Amino acid sequence: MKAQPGLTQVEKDKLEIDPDFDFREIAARPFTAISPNELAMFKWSGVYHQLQPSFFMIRIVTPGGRMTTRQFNRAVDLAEQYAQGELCITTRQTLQFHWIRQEDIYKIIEGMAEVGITTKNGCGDVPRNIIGDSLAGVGPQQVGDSLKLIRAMAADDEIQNQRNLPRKHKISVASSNDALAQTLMNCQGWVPVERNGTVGWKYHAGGGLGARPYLAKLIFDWVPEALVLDVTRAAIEAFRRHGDRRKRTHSRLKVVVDQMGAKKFGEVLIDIMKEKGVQELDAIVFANHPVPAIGRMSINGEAVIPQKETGQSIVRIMIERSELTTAQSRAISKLADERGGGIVMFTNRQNIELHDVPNENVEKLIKALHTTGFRTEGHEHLPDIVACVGTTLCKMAISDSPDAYHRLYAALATDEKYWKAIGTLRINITGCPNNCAHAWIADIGLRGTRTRNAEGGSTEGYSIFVGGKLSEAGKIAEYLCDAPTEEIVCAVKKILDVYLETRNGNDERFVDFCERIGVKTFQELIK
Amino acid sequence: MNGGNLKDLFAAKRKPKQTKTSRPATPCDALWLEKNIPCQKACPAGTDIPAYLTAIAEGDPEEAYRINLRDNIFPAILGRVCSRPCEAACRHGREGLGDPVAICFSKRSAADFQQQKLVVLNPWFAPSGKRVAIIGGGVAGLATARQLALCGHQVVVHEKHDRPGGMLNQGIPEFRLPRQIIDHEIEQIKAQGVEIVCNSSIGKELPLGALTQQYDAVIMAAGTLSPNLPSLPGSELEGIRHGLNFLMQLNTTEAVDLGERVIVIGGGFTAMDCARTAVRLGADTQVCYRRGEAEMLVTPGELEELGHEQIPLKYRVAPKAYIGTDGRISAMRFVRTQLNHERRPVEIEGSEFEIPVDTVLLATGQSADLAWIDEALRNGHEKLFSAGDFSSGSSSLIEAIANGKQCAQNVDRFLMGADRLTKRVVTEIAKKTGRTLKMDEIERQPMPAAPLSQRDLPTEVEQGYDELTSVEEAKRCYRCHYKFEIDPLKCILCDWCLKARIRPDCILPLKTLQQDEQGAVVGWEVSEHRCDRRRVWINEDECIRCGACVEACPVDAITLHKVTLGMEPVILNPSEG
Repeated sequence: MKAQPGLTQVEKDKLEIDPDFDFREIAARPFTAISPNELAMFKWSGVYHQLQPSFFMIRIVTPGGRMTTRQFNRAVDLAEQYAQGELCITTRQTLQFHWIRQEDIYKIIEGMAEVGITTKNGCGDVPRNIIGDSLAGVGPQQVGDSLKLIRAMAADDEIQNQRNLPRKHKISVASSNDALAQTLMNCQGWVPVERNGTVGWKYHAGGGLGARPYLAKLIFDWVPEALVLDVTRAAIEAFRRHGDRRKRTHSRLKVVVDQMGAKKFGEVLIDIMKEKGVQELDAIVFANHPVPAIGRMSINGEAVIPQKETGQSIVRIMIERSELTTAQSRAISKLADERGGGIVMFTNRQNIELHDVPNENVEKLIKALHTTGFRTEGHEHLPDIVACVGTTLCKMAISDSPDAYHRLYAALATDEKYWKAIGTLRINITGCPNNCAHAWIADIGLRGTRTRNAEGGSTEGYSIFVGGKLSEAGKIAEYLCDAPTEEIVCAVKKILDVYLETRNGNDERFVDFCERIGVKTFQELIK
Repeated sequence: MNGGNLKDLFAAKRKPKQTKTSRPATPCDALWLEKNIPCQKACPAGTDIPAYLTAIAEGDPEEAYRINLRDNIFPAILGRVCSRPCEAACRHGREGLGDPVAICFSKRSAADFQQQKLVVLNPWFAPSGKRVAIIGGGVAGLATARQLALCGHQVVVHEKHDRPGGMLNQGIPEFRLPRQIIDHEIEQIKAQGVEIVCNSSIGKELPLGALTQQYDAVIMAAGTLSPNLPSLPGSELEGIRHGLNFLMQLNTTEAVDLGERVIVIGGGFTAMDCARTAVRLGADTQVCYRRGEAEMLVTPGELEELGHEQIPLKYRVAPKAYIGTDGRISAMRFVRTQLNHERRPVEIEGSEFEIPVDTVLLATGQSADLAWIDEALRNGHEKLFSAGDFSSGSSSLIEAIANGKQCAQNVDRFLMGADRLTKRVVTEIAKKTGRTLKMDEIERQPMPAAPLSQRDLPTEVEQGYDELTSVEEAKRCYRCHYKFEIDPLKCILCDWCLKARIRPDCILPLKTLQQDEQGAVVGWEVSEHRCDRRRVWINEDECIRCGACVEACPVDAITLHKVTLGMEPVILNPSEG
């Protein structure tokens, strides 16, 4: 026999287990009659076994992060009945239900399906929820129609019926050349560009975070809009063909692109499209250089953003720790209907925007939101902290990231003068190296760890990284120091104080400051 | 913040990476070797087994042969007739991990598939001008000679028989060790600069004393050729022979008449060779041994071959008397035994019985003949050294080689007044071992054997692996010379490696790890709770180098080093390099 690395257990399961479970049948089974392999394959239906045995998380799929209030209301009703009255907003612009019992899984799936929302491809080795930026469809800088493309991809059989990819696959479609769409940390990232009055798309590939982060490379400078779906499909096919199914840590598209290089990957895509008989490929323009040039975020703390169409606005609501009680959800939904356009948009910073709000309603809407207990100030600033579920629910977590969130929020986000002085700042807290909360690309990223203590044991804590960004060519945050959880407030405060004292004037953003002084100097300064 | 620790942490991270380091071996290294590379530790000659198995697995038999040649001097020979202490120690053979790697068969395959040219090693030192005589051209004598030649000394081997090789030619039957294999590897030693003078008997014509005057050092490696014969009634009868004499006579092509019925007495290498040879001569043969199977000193697989060749083996029967008529043996009287608590055979009263026989072959050991040593030198001489079985008593070939290598080191020190050879540990940063878990599924490859119908005196029974099989077998090696370590400065105690481990104790969460002054691990305390966890530690004794932990580690805290322990020359004077 010829010995070679074996297929991973997940790969074997994918070959042997049909991922489209009948969750009514599952509801009738004792929990112990569900094999660990089946539990793992539930993810393909958006169902994820929690840390707590026999409780599940269910993630729905909301392409582009948009929901109508009718759909949102259904999610709220289901959460009230089956999910301990709470919903959680994810960093991929969708919702999660937690604490779902085995016998209630199908009720969530079927209930959401009735309003046109699926959980299929919520998790697993599949194309995940396709994201964009929260300004899609309405943003003042919008070029072309990213929502149209997102919807087309979400409805495309060839893309969505890929149920056995080597690993998860993430696509982003930006509405303008703006880091808001997180282009560089997605497997595929589309950015619109206008040439001589025609909208086409820049194509990036090979981004992805996880334990070993990669930033996407620029593959094509120009893809005519008519070929965007073909390129997207070809990239998935290339991933299917070239992804490493024998080493799960090396199986994502980011590794394929990194190993091939941008040009070769582009050529592979062209070859695949030729195989499929796709025409007019000559219109695709290869990038001269693989280094991307993503624009900086166009928004910076605004509570209200005028829409592209005159007379309407976006109203931004900050959701504390991404958790929505059903009462809060109903309040938002009601306001979206009464004062807005009946649209709820989830952001990748786990907040909500209400779109299509007539300008004359904005003031009343904001007042109502404040009355209900929501804050609208602090976006893209210190209060706008992202955190994963950490050890509260996740099997992989090392640290209780929601706890860290609340510590930082209570100590620093309440001091408006302080955080306004700091200016733009994104803090992301992730409970383990998987980086679900994107510590790698934050201004300040906290990643769960255990720090050795003086008593001879270890204490829950965080490794702190600084200077990450997704604009220009992107940058992965660099390690600064460790801090036990008890000391993270003090540590972050020290970091910020050093920044305030040392920055080149008020206009030097934290990320630029980090780049200018370098992490070694920063380490010296915080000692 | 961990302000106090940061300085150390950053210093560690800034430390420039050296990819390869070499330093003298310490007692701690010996301990590490013993725990981690059990095959190399078990090999008396210290052969770098993981390195040559890796070379075979990577399709490089030339390199595998050279590694072997460096350490055990006779790779093709040992690949056939080694007693294989390495295989008994192989980690793959531990409970629950399958069968040991067929190290010996693999060694042979490297010899089989390398180019059959003479391989000459680069001398370690320039010519010293020193002359050394070695008495005895057997395995130990030749091993000593090769080592001394590499040290730059002029070596002359005096062999009293008409061809060198000693027990290789005289004792081991051709069906186990083809003669051209012996000749080839002895030619290699000659090519290394060793002069071999045959039919040169030291004693009467050329006294030992004369040699001590002519040479700077003289090494006695004359083997053990005096038979140990049990004193039993009827010893004077014809038809009673020492097994080694029988093999020597046959192997020097003289015809031997054994009659129809042969009894071999003994439970060692010689007994097996005598029995299998007698069968090939057409005799109805059986082996009688006074202890049990566990006490036998035979090459692994030899008992199975005895079975295939339908040679009965009676355990726990001790010879009591030779019985004969007309001056010739006709039967052998035995008594049954049982083993006492010290595993010694104790006769069972009243259990005597007789077996009719024409020839008895006594494979009951042999000892050194000292008669040829000048009276004046029997108490020693500063220039006199001894090596191999002559020095240590009858033992295996690989022990004779090890003994010869040690003797050569002693002689070199005597001649040059300094320790010019030293054990060194070479550590190299590695990215991967080249192993995959899939390789664990390969079963030990059987050695193809000649069918019974073709088994005669010259036909080699073990026919060797084909090239693909040899590669597959070598892939089974765990490559224990790779050292996996978790860097506590990088480890974030996420436990992902603990979740990924494939054996229950190969990675342990620890409260404490106790090390002695040299850094050798002497104990540990397992952590039961996260809060008392100080480190996660790879228990290398249980580690099968699968690499699952490296795959799982999200922060690249697990380092991988290749550790090689070997004998290297110490350059005392640059001009000698």
